[in-house]
Amino acid sequence: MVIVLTVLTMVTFFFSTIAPSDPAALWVGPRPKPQQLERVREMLGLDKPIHVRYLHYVKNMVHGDFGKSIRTKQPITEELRRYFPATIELVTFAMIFSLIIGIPIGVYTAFNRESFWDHTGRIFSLSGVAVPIFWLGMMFQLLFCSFWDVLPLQGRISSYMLYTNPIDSITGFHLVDTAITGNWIAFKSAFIHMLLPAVTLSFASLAFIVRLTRSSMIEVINENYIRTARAFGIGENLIKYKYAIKNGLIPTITILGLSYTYEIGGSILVESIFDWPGLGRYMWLSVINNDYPGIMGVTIVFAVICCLVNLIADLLCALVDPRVRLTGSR
Amino acid sequence: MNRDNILLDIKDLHIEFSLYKSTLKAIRGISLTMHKGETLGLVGESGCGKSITASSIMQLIPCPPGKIVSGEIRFQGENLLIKNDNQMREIRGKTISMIFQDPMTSLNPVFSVGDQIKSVIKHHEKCSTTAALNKAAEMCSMVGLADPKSILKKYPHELSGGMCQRIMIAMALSCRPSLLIADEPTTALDVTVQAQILKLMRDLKKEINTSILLITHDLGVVAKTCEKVAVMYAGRIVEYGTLQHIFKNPQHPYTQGLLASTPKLGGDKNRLETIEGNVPDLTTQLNGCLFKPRCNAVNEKCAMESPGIKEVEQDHFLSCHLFNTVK
Repeated sequence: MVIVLTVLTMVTFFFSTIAPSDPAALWVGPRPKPQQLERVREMLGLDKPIHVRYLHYVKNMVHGDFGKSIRTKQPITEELRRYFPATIELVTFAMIFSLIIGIPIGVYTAFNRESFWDHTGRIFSLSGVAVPIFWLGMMFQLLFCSFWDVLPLQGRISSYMLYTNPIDSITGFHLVDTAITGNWIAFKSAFIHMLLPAVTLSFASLAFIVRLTRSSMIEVINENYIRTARAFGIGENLIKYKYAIKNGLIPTITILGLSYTYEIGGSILVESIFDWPGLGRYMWLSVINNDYPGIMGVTIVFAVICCLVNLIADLLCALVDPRVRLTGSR
Repeated sequence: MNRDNILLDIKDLHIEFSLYKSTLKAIRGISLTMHKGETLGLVGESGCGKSITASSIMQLIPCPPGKIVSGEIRFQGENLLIKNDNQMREIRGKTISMIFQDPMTSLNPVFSVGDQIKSVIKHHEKCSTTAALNKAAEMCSMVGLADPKSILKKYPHELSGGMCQRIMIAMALSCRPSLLIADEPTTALDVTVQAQILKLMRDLKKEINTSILLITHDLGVVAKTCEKVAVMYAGRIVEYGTLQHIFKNPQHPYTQGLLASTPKLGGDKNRLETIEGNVPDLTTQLNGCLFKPRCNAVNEKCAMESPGIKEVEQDHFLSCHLFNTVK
């Protein structure tokens, strides 16, 4: 993980320095005076050679300082801390959604192969992979917000909640905070705001999970040990939902980390569409404003999340599959 | 043999598999009788229908594409083919058990072996988990596994092939079945382990008084374990008799060919004998004797009609037109 992060900071740092824009000019604003530019360059350390700047950046980063944003002139660490919970909440919710919808569909279609619902499920999952996220998000907004007006258009919570039912920030996750404090009105508001972006975000991974679960379950129910279980009189339901499912879900758990990563990438699009105050939207704003310290900060946070999530997925996998465990019960 | 002693009676069994464009007639009229306490060897080359016959007794043929077209399978006087799935589930693993060719893949990799044996015992005996686990440990020591308590905690990938097969046998015999179907139990094991497993099966058979239907293509295994032998060819039984009949006095040209093909120590031949030709395509309409294309002594009757199975001497059955004509 340390190696991954080192390489990553190097690459992003290098690319941001060769980008054809002058951070100092952006900092100062339009029509700068040469002296102003000179002063800002010195202040941002841009007059030093690249390796010195890199080492300086890494040193600060280790101490939790990502520098100042060119766009907002605020410390990036502060901003990341503010936006981080919103993204994690959204992506985790989307992931849970795609799992609790995707796995049952995958299992059901595998056990009822070539049935009507199997074909429907497959068409649905194929379209999930094929449809672009931004198109889907806008379609959802059109349908649920403009036509039917059942769900809020954008944002994380209704703005008047700030005054009527203010949220005590404990963890930063609105759903968790409101649930702990019993603030159910705000919880409901946060929940319905969450629905559209989360469903949009989960759609592609949902489709992927359905297809993977289906094919792996089909493979498993033709395995020898399933035949063995039948030959010993074990009931069909027990075979399916105990013996087969534990084997069949191993691939799905393996890709769990991967789809979480994928959804974090998708959050850049989804948060921009739904005006979700999270890291993805922050990333998008940083990119269009050439705010390279901002871009780097988000990239590094995303990378850390990806590493951690994949680690968790591997641990889960070892929990389910004894063959993966390095130290068995010896 | 007297009639009361009959354990398993298969009469004129036909099984078909519907393929993409054709129908494969896998079993073309098998009749077979097994008595209590008997070990019957079912031999034949790959694809002749040995395993399908075994699966059909357990009603484990995947349906579709498989279908039992006609015939009846009587086990302890009851026709198994008219039983529904729930009734069959009570029989499977309790009165008829089955062990398989590849022990490593026949056990579920994500559950400990103890868990798997325990589930089978619990399902059939309706006892508590502790009682089932104790019984499982007892069965493990019965099949010669040292330290059963720690073995039961292990997963199949931590055990060797021979140990897995012992676990399978322990699981199969845990409810003291009247019939054990062993579908090539030693094919995936090396010869020393094979000998141990066969000895174990012989010993346990005496101990818990079960009958064994042993499916194999290895005549050596048959000679070591069986009392009766049935030779199958292309979905039919061509010869059926005691070990003595089949090995000392084979009548069917296919049985003779099979025995001639086994390597012998001290033989003066450098090359092994083979039976020329291939198994007929079972999806096509076949008339007459199925072995005719590969037979050395054919007469005009062989092409015309299918030879029925006849008793040629006491307990020795044969399906060949050539009997009495060649000799």
